[in-house]
Amino acid sequence: MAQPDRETVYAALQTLLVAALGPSPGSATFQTIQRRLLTITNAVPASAPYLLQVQATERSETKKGVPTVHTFTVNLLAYAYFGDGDAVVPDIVLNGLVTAIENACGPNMATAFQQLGIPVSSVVINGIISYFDMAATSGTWSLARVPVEIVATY
Amino acid sequence: MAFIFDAGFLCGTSPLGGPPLRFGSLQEISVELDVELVRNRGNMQFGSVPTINNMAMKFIAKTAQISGLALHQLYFGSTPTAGSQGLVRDLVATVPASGPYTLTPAVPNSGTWAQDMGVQYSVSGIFLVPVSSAPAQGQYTVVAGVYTFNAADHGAALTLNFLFTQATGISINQTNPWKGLAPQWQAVLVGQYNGQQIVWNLARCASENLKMLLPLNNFSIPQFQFQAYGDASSAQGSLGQFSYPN
Repeated sequence: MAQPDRETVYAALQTLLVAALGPSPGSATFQTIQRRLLTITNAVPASAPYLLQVQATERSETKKGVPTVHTFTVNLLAYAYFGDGDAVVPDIVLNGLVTAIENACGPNMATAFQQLGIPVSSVVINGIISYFDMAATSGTWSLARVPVEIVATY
Repeated sequence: MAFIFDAGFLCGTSPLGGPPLRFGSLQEISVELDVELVRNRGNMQFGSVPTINNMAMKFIAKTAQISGLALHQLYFGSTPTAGSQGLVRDLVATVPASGPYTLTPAVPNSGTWAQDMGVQYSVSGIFLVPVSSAPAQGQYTVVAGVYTFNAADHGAALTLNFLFTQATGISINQTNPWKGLAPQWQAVLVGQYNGQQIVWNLARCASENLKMLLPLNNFSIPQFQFQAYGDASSAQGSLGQFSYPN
């Protein structure tokens, strides 16, 4: 199997997320999953929770005479809406969303690696997962940023 | 010409039967070909006509997943049976405030209590001493999973460890056989990159070393070493088939 190019890698990650976590045919953990960044001010409560896949960095490591190894870093941003009430603890909801992302990006049980079916070498959550609360005119939103690292060659 | 990226694929097949055993979560494999050359020097300083005396093809695989089936078929040539042992670790329990001063800890997975692995006072960490009968303070008896303590220990918080047996899993009662032939198995090692593969299909391998470290705060990455031998296909034997894209 030939090595996938950059866009194929990103598109495959999106396909995985939609299949596992999207409204259809997934578990509907997220109402909206997209690759376009959305600011909180433009987020619509009826479309929440959101899962946004945003490219962050690419590190290319090349040794002379050897093909390049690419490390793509993608931020997965989870937005959850809480309105103006305090009946729900935002962290509890975000914990569920982040755990769902972890499970979706988790390894294939047969190979012990997540390779997006393309395959890439590996997909792992690697780094610090950050949490934020933000106020908008629509109400209170809570955010989680999950850094995902994809190692691939092409 | 071909490149290889990543640790590849390694599978062992035992002549004892059972499924081909893929080495899970392979972290790396090293291949080492040792050639013992004889230098026929004659009267010359540097010698000439190098000849080979012995060769050895050694493999070291590091794999994060541990397969009991692979371990025992490929190292000991043993066949596993159903059922396994488990450990209940650091179970906190309290001696009843009034008699009888006994504890019967629950055994997980519908299992059966098998062997005591020690009892400690939770607060001090001091071990209680097992005795055969009539325990004094700081002592206990245990029979078939029922722990009995002295009345003076009533209300004491304890930490228990014990082994149990369960129907799930596999186990091997490893025997101590006569010296003789080592278990032999077929190894298939595949490295690949960009749609091209090298495939080393080794007809007869024997395992020679296993290192397993259980580190604090980290995963164990066992190191598994084996060597290729000629098979019985001819008087000379065949090491296997080596395939390359070009």
